Amino acid sequence: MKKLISLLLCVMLLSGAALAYDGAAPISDETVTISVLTTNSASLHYDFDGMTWFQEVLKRANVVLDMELLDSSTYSDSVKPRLAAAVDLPDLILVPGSDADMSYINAGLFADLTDLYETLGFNLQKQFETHADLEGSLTTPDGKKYYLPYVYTTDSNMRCLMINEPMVEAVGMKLEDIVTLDDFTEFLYKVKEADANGNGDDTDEVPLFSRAGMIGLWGMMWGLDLNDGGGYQVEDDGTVICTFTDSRYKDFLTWANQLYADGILYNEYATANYDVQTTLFTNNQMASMVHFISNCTGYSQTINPDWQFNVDEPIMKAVVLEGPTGEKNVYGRGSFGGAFGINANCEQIENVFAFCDYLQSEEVGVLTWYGIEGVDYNIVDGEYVFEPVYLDNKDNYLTNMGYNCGALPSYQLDYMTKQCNQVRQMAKDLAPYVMNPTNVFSYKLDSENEIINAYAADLKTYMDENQTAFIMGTRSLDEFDAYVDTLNAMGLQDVIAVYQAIADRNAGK
Amino acid sequence: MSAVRPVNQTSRSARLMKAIKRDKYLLLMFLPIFVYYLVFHYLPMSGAIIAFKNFKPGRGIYNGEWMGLKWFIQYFQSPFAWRTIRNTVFISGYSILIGFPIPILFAITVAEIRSSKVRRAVQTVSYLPHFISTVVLVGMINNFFTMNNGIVNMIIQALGGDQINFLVNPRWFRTLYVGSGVWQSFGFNSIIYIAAITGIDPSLYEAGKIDGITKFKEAWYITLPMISQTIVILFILRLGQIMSVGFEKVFLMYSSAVYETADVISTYVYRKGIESTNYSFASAVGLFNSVINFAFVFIANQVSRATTDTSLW
Repeated sequence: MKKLISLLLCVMLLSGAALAYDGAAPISDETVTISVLTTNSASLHYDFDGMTWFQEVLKRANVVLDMELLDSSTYSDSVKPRLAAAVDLPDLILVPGSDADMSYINAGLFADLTDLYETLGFNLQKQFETHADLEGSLTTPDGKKYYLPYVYTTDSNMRCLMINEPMVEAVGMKLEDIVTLDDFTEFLYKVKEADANGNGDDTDEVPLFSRAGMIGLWGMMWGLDLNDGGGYQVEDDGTVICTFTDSRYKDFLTWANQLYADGILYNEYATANYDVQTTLFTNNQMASMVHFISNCTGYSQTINPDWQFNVDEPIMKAVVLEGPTGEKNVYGRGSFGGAFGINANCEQIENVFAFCDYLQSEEVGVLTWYGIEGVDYNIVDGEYVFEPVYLDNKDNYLTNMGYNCGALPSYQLDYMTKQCNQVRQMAKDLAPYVMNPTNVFSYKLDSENEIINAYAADLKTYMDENQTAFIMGTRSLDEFDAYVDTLNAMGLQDVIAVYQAIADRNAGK
Repeated sequence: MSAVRPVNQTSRSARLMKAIKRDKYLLLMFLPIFVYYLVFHYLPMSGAIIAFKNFKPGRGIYNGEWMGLKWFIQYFQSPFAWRTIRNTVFISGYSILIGFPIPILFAITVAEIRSSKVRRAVQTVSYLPHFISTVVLVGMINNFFTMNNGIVNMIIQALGGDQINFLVNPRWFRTLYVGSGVWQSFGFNSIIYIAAITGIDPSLYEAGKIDGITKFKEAWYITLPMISQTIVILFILRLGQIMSVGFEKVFLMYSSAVYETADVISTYVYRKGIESTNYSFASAVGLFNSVINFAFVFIANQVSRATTDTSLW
């Protein structure tokens, strides 16, 4: 009898604990202390304990965090040996490389959260509904979930073509006239011939700039993901293709090769870094580039230090072009931004999970991106109207408060709030044209990992160096078929088969 | 029946104890170094076993599945194996070919400077590049050799030549790598030779002067033979790094445009082994590298011992 009563009490206690959390704060009536090993994506110079917005989140959740914040640049190197040793691990850990080959899962380091996603994942389930790719990225081939995600915004801060509008006018065109890729190409050649920045030197303009590794973003004009998807793309009919062997890719290379040969594409695009880019903006030499739309504000400020936020028109303006295939695309991103695991030996797995679920709530999103009502913003006619303290962002106010901290499994609510009104409007206008990567992060079977480990790095090396060679003209495009044959000989079809199997699994086939 | 200790063993033990007692302070000084090498260099060697296993984090280095030579075979079957080996050997070979004699020549030249103030100034200026970090050095290379307002291309243009796209042209990578390396290290590497030259008996030079030899012959017949042991030892040690091209500098300097001549074993292993968390593969290639390096040291040592009577062991 005593045993039965004890069992009933235990069941009541457990069910009571589970029911205490319903997706909103607090996660528990008693203060919960959680130890965390993570990094601050902004900088360790910003003290987490001083981040008012996050401290408010903790207060509402009734949680105390014992944070161990490591420098982001060395995080992976520091944490991997600790995970390999598997001793003295905290409750919640940002997992290096999101455990792509499931080593840590297979080693039993992290708790299986599959059931908790069903019972306590109130806000996480909403994220799955918002981001179609997210659940697939978190689910292992056997249908389980071990990790909690950091969720990227996919549509608001797209990578798109931005054009220096005063240069457009200087060459006798209007921004509205640049509708197709051909219109844009015409603009590029005009910039090449003219003194578009009006500094008396008609040779210093860079019609089209790209940094190392960013030229692939142009694939979106042909409906190709050459970037985040690693060169693989799931077509509308569910078929996985290698974008680096597609006939549209050859068309892109032909276009880029011509621009390079004619001195339109920046002559050192294969090695250019951020410093080069900043110099070109500072000297107002940059006519166009593809980058995150949120940079339109900052680049306008760099070109003209007297440019006034929310007063002057942005100098760099975002444009969506109609590509050769008739598609209009800007480039989004996958929603999966990193994985956090709960230590399998943690004694309060449910509480930690509940806290992480609360971090995905709208309440936390607003708190950590918009700030505190009455201080950072007010709601007027249903719209968020930000206070000067927020918009002025003096002494990195926003980062100090916790904006875009990324240290916990939370999400990006709206990346555009720091931008001027015109750029925010441009982002809204371009949102319908967002093309997100389709070959997103995914966990694989051991046999699939073996194929990826054996072939993928070599294929990527060969693709990258040949892309550069074709564009720079050191390899003739007449050899494109031979290039494809070599990729096939290097195991490309085996890798495509792996990604096809993953796409089929994610599609529930 | 009582055990009888052989006389020679007793005397050997006694001699050992006596030597330990006599050199106890030297041994005490040596102890931390011994412990350092034991802990950080010899004990970790056992970890090389993961080159033959399928290492998974969290399972420990001894518990992975035994894979035999799989990772070695995978490396040699890779389409880039021979290219990375070739590039590694070429870059390292050029560095030795050009970078090894220059500090010797510089040391001989510096030793000839009569004014001690000028000598010290020249030495100090030559050492300075050694203290520039690799990141800064590569930044300087990029700034100097860029097509866009880089000083080298500006000079070429001023002399009526055509601009050269140094940074994305595979033919120029090794020249930039080796040249910048020589510039950075020749002064510092000359220290040991300058020290060796300082130790040469002055009476040899006086005898040479009496015989009326020229400066060139003085260097050829006196200085070089007298520092030849130092040169040989350092050369053997340098050969031990022939398969080890610094990862950091190549990684910072290379791009997909110059993989053909720039991609070396360490950068390839980084992309295929470390980025893909395939530690066993990375270890296998690292082990292969170490074995080749050791073979070079061993062969060079044997050749040197046979030909010059100078050797490491």
